[in-house]
Order: sequence, then structure tokens, then C-alpha cells
Amino acid sequence: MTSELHQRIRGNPKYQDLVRRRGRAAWLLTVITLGLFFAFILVAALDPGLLATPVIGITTLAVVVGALMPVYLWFVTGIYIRLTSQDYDKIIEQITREANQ
Amino acid sequence: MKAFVLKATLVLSTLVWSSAAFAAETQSREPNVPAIIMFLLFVSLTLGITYWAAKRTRTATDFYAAGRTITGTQNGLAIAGDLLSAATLLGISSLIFAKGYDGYMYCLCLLVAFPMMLFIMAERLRNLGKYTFADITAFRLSQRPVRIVAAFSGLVVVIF
Repeated sequence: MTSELHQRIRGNPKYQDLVRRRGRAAWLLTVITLGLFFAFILVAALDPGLLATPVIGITTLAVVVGALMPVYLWFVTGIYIRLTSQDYDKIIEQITREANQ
Repeated sequence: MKAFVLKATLVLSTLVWSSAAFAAETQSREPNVPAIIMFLLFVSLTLGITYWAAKRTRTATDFYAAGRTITGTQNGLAIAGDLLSAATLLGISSLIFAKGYDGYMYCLCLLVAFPMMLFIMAERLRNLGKYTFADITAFRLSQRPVRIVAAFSGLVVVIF
């Protein structure tokens, strides 16, 4: 890897766009996930009565939220995998091809 | 090979010692032969696989990333096997038994940590071809202080 090659990759508008988009998506997913998680923790800490309300029969809201949490995490991981394999990897391949020309 | 023999002897002597101690404690009970045989079988199998794998390991890439030849599904199975451990089966279930919903929230915390690592760290690890969090931070910042902090935080986690 020469610094000339680095310059060419850095100057590529596709690369700059990819870096910006990728960073934004990663941080957005992180903030949403952490926000939901801490909202849940804060509700459990400050208003346990709310989580104790029965939803289905005697099953409380706490159990339903607890069961949905892994499903949500599974879902966001899926979104991230989709983004990387269907979007980023193709653009990275294009950028490398253009840089090696 | 030497280390392997040493480990095997160590395990065997521990086994003999513990079964002797166990027998001394409960005079009337017979030694559980099938359980000991299963244990020995399991230990020798694990040590055998480890020895076989260690012989094939040549570089750091081999050691940390299995030469980058593992597929997504294989890696998923490995991580799942790693997590279906004593900590999960005994630790989490006893935590929920003892603390109720608090224990359940504790195991949700573990789950939340994994996507965070994926979103923030995974791409960087792959792009830089490094293996640990300390490697990345040391790559970007000055080596010594970062490595010292990483070593200390690792030791603190292990101790507590």
C-alpha cells in the first residue's frame, strides 16, 4: 500500500460517501438500541408498577418486554448484516477496482 | 508435546486426588465408575482435539481467527456453543431463581452488548486485520499507555 494509493482512495467521492453513510447507520442503530435498553432499565428502576401490569392473563408487561428484547436485537443484527453484505461490500469492491486501475 | 503430557498428568492426578477425597468423605459410597470413565473419555477427547489443533496453528491469524477460513455458520455455531456454557446453564438460571426478574434483566444486558460490539467494533477489526480491542486502540493511539490500560481492565474483570 503506497500513500499515493491511499490518496486516490481517499479522494474517491464513493469512498467518502460510504464512510459517512456507514458511520451514520452504525451510530443510529447503536443509539436506538441503547436508548430502548436504558428506557427499559429506567422504567424498571423508577416505575416497577408499570411493568407489573398484567397483559395476557397473568403474564405481566415485564415478561413480554423481556421476551421481545432478544427478538428486537436479532432484528437489528439482521438489518446490519443486510446493510454490510448487500450495500457496503459491493461499494468497497467498486472502490478497490477503481483504485487499482 | 511436553506441555500436553504435563496437562494430562495434572488432570489425572487431580481426578485421582478428588475421587480419593470424595471417597474418604463418604465412606459407604462406591466410586461411580461410569461417571469417571465418561469424565476421562471427555477430558482425553478435549485434550486430543486441542493437541491436534495446536499442531496446525502456525501464525497469529491461525490462533485468533482460525486462518480466516471459518464460515459465518460455523462461527455462529462456535459462539452459540461458547454461550451455552456452565455460566449460562447454572449461573443465569440460579440468578433468576435467586433474584427473580432482576436476574432476567441481567441476562438481557449480556444480549445487548453483542449488537453494540457488532455495530461499533466488528467492521474496524476486519478492516485493520487486528484481533482485539486493545490492538485497534493501540493502532490509532500511542501503544504503551493503551496496552497498559487494556491489561489492567482485563485483569480487573478477571479478578472481580
